[in-house]
Amino acid sequence: MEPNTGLPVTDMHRWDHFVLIVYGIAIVLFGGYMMYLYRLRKQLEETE
Amino acid sequence: MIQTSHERAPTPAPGARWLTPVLGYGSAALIAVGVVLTFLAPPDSLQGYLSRILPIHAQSAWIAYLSFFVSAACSLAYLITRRMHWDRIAHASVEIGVILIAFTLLSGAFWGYPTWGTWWQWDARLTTTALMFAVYIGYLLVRGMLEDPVRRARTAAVIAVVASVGVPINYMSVYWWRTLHQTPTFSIAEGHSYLGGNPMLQTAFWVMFLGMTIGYVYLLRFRAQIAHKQAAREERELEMELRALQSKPQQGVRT
Repeated sequence: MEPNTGLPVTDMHRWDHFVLIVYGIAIVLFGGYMMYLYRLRKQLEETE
Repeated sequence: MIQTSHERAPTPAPGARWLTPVLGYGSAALIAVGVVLTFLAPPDSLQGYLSRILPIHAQSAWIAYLSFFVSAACSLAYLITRRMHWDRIAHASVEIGVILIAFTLLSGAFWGYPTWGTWWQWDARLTTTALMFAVYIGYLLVRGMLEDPVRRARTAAVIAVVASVGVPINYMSVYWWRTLHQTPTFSIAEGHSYLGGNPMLQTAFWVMFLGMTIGYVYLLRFRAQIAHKQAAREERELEMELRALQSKPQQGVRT
């Protein structure tokens, strides 16, 4: 895909994988937190 | 001596059952659209595809600010009314804020290394963000250490109110000290946006803003509902302990 300004993209493309790493961290962090919450809720409901 | 909160956990309001999942699904859909738009946006002329980190990084910082403000407001409400309900919301909000601020620091480092040439710098914005993270981790640790619910709520409320001073300092740090970190990605007051040259990324930014704000409300409600159950269990355990103590024959008491 062409850059929006029409200017040539520099060698910053060698860092493209960092974008995926950041979104991966987001999935792990928030997914992990949601799993923790669901487990906690299940645990509490079982002891109720 | 352990005190009881003297407050039964209130019954959830009508609509609570359906509203939380609706918020959850709504935010998940909006965030998904935001992510798709982010990945469809063309690369920036200088940063390349790294500009795709900006929407999620800036929005997580915004929600972290919001969550710390909410925790301060609820803590203040607790100190005034002494209703445990406020303490539970404040706790839930800090927990979400800590995760968001951790993500802000991590995503910022991954953006900073290729663009600034360093993972970390003791710059004003970065340092105040790290301080905020440390202070709120301290808040959670203090809560974990105190067994008495009333003492725990009171101490945590004072910490949350004092710690919230860090939020405006953190926001203004880029204007006051002018170190490495650039000014906000979007500013209504100054009428500028760093994403202005990339309309699709700008749209993604606002869709993420909406999705993540609704997601915060969803998480807050969900976490507060769990905290409500935890408080009810704590109360039950305490009552059982008291009953056991009362039924025990008193020893060593002179008649």
